Amino acid sequence: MQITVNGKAETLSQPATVAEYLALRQLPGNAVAVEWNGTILSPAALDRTALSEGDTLEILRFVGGG
Amino acid sequence: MIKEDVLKIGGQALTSRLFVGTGKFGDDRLIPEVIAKSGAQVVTVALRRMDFEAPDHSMLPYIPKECVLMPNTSGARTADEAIRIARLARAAGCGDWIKIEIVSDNKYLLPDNGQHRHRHGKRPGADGGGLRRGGPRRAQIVSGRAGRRIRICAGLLSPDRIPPLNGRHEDEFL
Repeated sequence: MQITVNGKAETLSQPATVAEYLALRQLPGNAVAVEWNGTILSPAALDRTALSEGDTLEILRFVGGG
Repeated sequence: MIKEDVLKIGGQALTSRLFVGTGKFGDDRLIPEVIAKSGAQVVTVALRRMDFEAPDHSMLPYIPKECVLMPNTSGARTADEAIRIARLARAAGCGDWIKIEIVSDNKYLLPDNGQHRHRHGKRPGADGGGLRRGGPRRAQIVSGRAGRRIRICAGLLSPDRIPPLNGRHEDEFL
């Protein structure tokens, strides 16, 4: 399955939810902001959102800023 | 008896009016000490794409849990982008505080007052009686061409509310 994450193409070897993808990347769901196909996902929605071919994810985190 | 000076914003009672940022620390390990010694209770952060190729590092653990996190919308060039960033920050658990930054000028990093106005319904500068729309870039053009002194209102005052300078009002405002 081909998806795009932060602007880069990725291939998933098996179906996954967004939460499972984050776990694969060792990213705690409560430390990042996730946008799936242009829709901002709440933490509760991460494990009930299944990724499909062609999906786009934007994963952001907090960094230092003024 | 000294009365405690409490600043209330959004239901949050603050005893410090100092908001500190987190973008210029040479070492994030300095953050807890700086916050403790400054007494700041509101800390700003930014939201950026996760860089999967860089070592994973988060500065959030260095911010005391009792602090209010206020993400900024840095990176936004338009009002819509700022709103999107604000919503992302809230979805990431940052609460309802947001510091709006809308910068379309990547050279001078000057704010886009027109976009700020669009979202807040407030005029960032004067209107009527002179230049109707403006911004810092237009101020540079005007001041260069005017050949005379110009007062620039970068706040919320309309021209008729700006006190006269040396007994007379200036002709042009932004």
